[in-house]
Amino acid sequence: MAGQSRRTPLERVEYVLIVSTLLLLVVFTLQPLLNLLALSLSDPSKVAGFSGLSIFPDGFSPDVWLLLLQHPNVQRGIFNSVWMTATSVCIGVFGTALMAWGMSRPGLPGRRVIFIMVLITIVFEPGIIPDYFLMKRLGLLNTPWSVIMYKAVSAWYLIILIRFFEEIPKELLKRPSWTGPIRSRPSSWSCCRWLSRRWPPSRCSTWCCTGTSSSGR
Amino acid sequence: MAGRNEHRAVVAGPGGNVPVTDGGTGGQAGALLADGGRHAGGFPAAFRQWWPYYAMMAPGLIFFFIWHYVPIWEAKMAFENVRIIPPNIWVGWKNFEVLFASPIFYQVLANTLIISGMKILFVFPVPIIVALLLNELRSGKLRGAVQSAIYLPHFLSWVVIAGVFIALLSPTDGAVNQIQTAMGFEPINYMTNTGTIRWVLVVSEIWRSAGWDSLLYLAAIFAIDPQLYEAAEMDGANRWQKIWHVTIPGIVPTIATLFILNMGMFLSADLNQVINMQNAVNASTIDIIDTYVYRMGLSTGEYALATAAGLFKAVIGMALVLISHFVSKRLTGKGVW
Repeated sequence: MAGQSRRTPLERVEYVLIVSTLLLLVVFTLQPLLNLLALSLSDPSKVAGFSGLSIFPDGFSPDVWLLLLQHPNVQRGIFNSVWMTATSVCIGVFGTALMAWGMSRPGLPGRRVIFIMVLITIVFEPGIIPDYFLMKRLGLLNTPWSVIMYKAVSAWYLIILIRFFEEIPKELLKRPSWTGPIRSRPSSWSCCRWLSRRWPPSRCSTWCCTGTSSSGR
Repeated sequence: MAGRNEHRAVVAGPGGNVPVTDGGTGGQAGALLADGGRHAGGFPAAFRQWWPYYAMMAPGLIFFFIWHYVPIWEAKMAFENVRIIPPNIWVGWKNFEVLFASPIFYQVLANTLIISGMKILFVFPVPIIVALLLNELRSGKLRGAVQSAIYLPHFLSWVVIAGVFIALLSPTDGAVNQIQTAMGFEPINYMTNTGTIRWVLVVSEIWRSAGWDSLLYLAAIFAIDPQLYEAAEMDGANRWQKIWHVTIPGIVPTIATLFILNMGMFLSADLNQVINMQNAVNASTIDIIDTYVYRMGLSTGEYALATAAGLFKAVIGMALVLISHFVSKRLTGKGVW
């Protein structure tokens, strides 16, 4: 690095301060979790009075974890979380991606109107009671589908995806027209291959659970 | 034959996959669509050309209609006397009058404003600072390690985080009180102390989101042209001058966008967090509009009153988003959409 030789002692002190601040943040983040993990792995007789500062188990026993994993309620809970999340994400990605593809086409009649309608749902949210009555009316109360379907397609992800699709270079969409057979179809399929390269599963799952399309360097 | 060709070209045209220079009828269709979708034949003709795209959008549109627009219609019950056996009776602003006359509503409104204000002041800047610090790290490995560690709490739900904080702040075994006792202070039960519980909300919010939210800023920082830094170095700028004159101006649009989004949620103050941290002792201090709506609506069954409170929140939220959007557009040239 060119900057290496020019670094003054003051800059070195600054760097140490920066690193130690970040390390302090790491400790602040991880210590409470490690403490609880250590507590859960400690000998049950020593759990009472276990120090909140310690991150090492006092004695070792996996009993709590085994009990937890064998408990039928926990097993059902895990099963429900997994299948409900998976179904919800599938439905959400399906609906959102198809709609975003349509809306990312410049020149689609009514595009602007639909976009404004979507924006309204971000800006104005009437609250949980109308949602509750909607579920009641649809007969979804007390069923897993109330959780699965609830806002599975939402405006944030839609807008992020529209922006993403708009970034796709026009040249890629032109290609299929040179080769006869694909020509008559909407160009989604021809883009799938390109997308699957640009948008690896990790990014997809991040999007699914957090709604962030940006990634690091 | 010619008709079929034309049909093909027309269907393919909207996707932008027909070059305008394509010969024959296809070329005409391409040129027609290139000018922003103005169609000579009005909507029916446009629909015939674009129907595959409308078909693709149909599931999403149906979803939006049911899950986003029907609730807006349902919200009219704020103006109704909700009865167990329909129909409801239209009562106009009566529910709002009842709401604005009740002292508890002002209590929850004040709590919401205080908690949200504290969060904007003390939580919002933290991810920016974290991103700036992470950007200063020269070792990619160290940065990766720090990032993975501080992203972790984002993936925990508030139920778990509430458990972690109850353990962390426990007056007997909690880490915080142990340190406090070792330094010679009296232990405090933070979770049941009305003076500290709001700070618990602030700190737990930082704990959960500071790392993850810094990702957005970090992405914005990485998008800054390295030449700007080189030029600044040429001019002899030190670390702080580079941060102040290059990095921060580069991430102002991101800051503005996220600030607007936060403003939109100003009256929300995170139902999920509060409901998990709430207990009988601290309830009066951190009872927010959302918990009030939840309690009145789903527990007590005062549907109309709860909807009125929710609607009040929604209208204020809408005003805040729109105001900050237009202010931001004026100042930075960039709004949310």
